[in-house]
Amino acid sequence: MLYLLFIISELLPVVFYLAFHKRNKQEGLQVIFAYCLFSFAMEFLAPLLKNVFHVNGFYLYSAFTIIEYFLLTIFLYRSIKDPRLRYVPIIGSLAFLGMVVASFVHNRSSNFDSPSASGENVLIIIYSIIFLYGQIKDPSILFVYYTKKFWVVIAFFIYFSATLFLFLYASNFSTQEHKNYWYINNIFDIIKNIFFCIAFSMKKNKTPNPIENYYADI
Amino acid sequence: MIILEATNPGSNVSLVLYFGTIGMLALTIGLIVFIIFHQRKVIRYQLRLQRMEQDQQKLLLNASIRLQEEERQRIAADLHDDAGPLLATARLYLNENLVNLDKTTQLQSIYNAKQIIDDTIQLIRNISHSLMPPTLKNFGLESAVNDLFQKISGSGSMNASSRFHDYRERLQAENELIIFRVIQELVNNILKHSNASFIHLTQNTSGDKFFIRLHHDGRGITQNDFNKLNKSNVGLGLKNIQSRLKVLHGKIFFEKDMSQTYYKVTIELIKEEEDKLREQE
Repeated sequence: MLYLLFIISELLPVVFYLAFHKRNKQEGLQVIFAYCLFSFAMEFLAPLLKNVFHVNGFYLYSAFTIIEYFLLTIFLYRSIKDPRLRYVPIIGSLAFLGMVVASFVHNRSSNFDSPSASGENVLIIIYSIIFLYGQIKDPSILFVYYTKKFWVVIAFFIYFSATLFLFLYASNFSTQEHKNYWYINNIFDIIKNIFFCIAFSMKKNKTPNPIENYYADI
Repeated sequence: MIILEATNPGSNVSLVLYFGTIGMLALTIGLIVFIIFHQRKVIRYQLRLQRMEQDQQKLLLNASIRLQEEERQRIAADLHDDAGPLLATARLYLNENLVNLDKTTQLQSIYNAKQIIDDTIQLIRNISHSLMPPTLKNFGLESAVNDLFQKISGSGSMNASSRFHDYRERLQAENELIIFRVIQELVNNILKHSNASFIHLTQNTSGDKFFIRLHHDGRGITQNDFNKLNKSNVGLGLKNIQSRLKVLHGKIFFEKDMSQTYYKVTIELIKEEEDKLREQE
């Protein structure tokens, strides 16, 4: 039942993006749409590649992690406005590549690419905090939750925080343990997709400015 | 379910996993809530600032309206109390000519009427000069200030001097008038409240800034007093100074001299603002 909900939730952001296409032309949301499409496609491609073409699960998860990381990093890099803080994703990406290479060398025998996945989690959490810090400092944004980017970043932030420990342990899980604990990923994936839907369905430039309203009243 | 799994004694991994996940989630949600509440706090603070600014604007506006009304009342009183009776008296003298046929008396009354009309002309000229000093209009700020200070010195109540170091090019006429009015107001305040024995005014420029400094040795105010008076309902003249300088994007600073002997008032204007205004015209 949860898995079915999870699959439906994977499709929902794609549907919402297409339904409200005009509202989502700007703000780099195309990258998130590409990520949602890729994520949804992987739900069908992964079993096919694993069972029919006998591709090792490690490579599949690794490939997914790398593509997911770079898509999200591109989005966050474009969203961070402070030029000094924009170096963080660049340096973080180099560190991530190092982790991926190290994982390929040392960890290839396991079913899940834990170092890369948890490294990705930590880095995306850091970028999300940097983004939110920028939002607090930006005086032009009065209600942060009226922006699409806020909901997208909150989706990552919650998802990657909640799955950090799961991904840290995932490479040591037996098949049964994997089944027992993987629902955590599914639940937070559903929450992430709901947040994406909220972001995609929000109207553009609908940030109410109480100070402008205040002056309009004078 | 999570608690049941976590409390399973056989599973250390699940314990760390669940508590780790819950901990991370709690931190994340806490951070998000903090951001939202922090922003609300910032908005409230900004609104309060805007409201204070608006109140200040209202005070300045009221001050300038009240000052305008006072000025009108003063002119009305001058005309009514001085010019009116003088002209009425002149009329009486001239009227006397119609009834009195004695040549000597007629000449005397015409002479008296002429004297009174001369006084009236002088009075009206004074009123007109107080509205717009002709020296300022024709010869500029430097001459008008020198003229004002000479009059003060001439009265013998105070020694007043001024020195313009760098005033080769005149400012715009309206701006000169604004600055002159500010100087007049400051000098008036010094005359009324400070009990000073001298006032000295200097003008100079530094880079793109234009400075006028007034020194006196009486009782004065500091910037704190000025800010307090500006926010209160008293200190009409100071509010008027503030609103006049706002037009020029100028600043005013009240301070005690380094030697703690003199009070210093500095008017700071930006020359670029003047150039911009000139270009706009």
